[in-house]
Amino acid sequence: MSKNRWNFPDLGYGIGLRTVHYPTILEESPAIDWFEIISENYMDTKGRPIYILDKIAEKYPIVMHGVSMSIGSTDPLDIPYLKKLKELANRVKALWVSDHLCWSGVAGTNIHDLLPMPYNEESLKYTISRVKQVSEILERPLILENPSAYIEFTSSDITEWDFLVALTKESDCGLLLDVNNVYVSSFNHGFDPNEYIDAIPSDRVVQYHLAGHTNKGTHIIDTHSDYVIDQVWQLYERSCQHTGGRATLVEWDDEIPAFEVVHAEVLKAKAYRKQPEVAMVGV
Amino acid sequence: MDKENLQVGLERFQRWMSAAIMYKGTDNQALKSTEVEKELPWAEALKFIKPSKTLTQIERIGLYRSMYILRLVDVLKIDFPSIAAYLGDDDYYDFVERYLQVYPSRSYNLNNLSYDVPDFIKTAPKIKNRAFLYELASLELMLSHIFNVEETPLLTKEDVAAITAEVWETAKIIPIKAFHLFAFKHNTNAYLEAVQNEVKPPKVKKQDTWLAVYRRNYKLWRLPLSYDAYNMLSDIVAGKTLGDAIVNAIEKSSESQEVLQGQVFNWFQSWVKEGFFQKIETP
Repeated sequence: MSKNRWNFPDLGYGIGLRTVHYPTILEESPAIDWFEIISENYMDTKGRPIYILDKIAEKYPIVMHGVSMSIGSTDPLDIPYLKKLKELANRVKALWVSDHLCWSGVAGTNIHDLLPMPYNEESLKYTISRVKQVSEILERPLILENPSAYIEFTSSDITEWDFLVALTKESDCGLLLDVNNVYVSSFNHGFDPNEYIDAIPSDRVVQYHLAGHTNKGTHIIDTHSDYVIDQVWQLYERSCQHTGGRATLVEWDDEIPAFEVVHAEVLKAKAYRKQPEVAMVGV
Repeated sequence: MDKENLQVGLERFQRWMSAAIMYKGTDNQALKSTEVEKELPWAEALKFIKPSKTLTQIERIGLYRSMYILRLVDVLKIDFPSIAAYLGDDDYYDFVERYLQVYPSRSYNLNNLSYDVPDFIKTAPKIKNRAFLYELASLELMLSHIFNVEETPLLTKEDVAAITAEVWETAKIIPIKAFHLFAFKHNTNAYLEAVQNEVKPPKVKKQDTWLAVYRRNYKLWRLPLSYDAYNMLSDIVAGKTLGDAIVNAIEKSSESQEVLQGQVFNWFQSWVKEGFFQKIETP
């Protein structure tokens, strides 16, 4: 079984912390391994959200996952944002801090979406430089998630997986491998998701994301509104054979069911996370 | 391509995509609009984007455009459910589209998107029942604000008992941070309450109403006030001494001095119990 580059712990099976589940979590203290928070939801509040988070962080390991770092934007890095991010990470003793390989806005505006970048040498160098700056400010390695995308660019002359391989190596960042995103983008762009999974360096993978999506026939939208489909479980299993398994989380953000349902969904991952098969020695 | 050229290229591309996503209109209108073509002529932009096997370039960018508006319609509805209920689905959607043209998000935090809604209602053309909607939006925005304000210690019975009779007149009573007063010209709170309770809202009518909005134990509360109670609380919030607040309330009241003085004690007891105040300052 391989380890990740930084020896970040394998936290087991977690879910995204969502407000609809607060009562269950606070009143029943369910036996779940860990929670992932959306960082921005707790950064500018001194009220109930941070009060609740503090209580939950006393009992459960917390991992932070942001949506607004905009690492690929040509706007300057938002230093006050990064400082607040670091403060929050210290406050809740976050085990790691992740965001997305994307840009979210430019010229000071924010679209609040995870917009894809063209993948080429130039954008790679630019992103490497930005990741290094962020890691310095946060004083910890940045973990980036592969995005789901609905658009591709002619200026891309590197595959997304090759881009990630180079980015993680050159900037020394980690990877939050969203297996559903790999599947969604492979459907939308027509590449082989197995090739993507096999190319990812195991030692860079810190965490997995799993989620449901909405298949519109002509394309798939990453809605986080349903159960994980079989093909995604199979890709997860394939990746676990490379990594030996990592902290695994199910995201459910639309039509969110009861806590027990989301928890049960992530626990399904146990069945797919087998030890690598021992190679048979020929005689 | 050197780094400088890349920056220009990436920035130009991101400005184009951002403008295309945020433009109000159909996909075709957006991509061929002056605002979007100023960043990148459509003929040139077409060369940047690959079609998929099932979607054209316009359809692919259209996915991001539709998700942008739908996401922000939903986000603003969380803070302004009563505005959405009053306008109805179609008019609310149009309202949000027009709002975003004037006040696109400029913050990493989606919570900040709401801040300019009352101002937009005050100044935008074609707002029906503007005065009422302004009150309703101001109330809903304040509820969001108070939700996130820091907790302050509460005035206790012991604090009150420690104040000697002779200094009450010159004492200043400091409200908690999560406290705000409203004077409305409509039945604004009744409308909001009906929406919250998922019952048919009352017909909007002109009516002088007064309201205290506050948070206790991290929960939001609204307390309708009489005209006299509002006047007294307004002076307290403005930092006047208790003596001055009582004198002013008596001057403005239609009640006799005896009646009002009798009420003050009950009000004060009730307000302390509700947790309106954090401390008493004496000279």
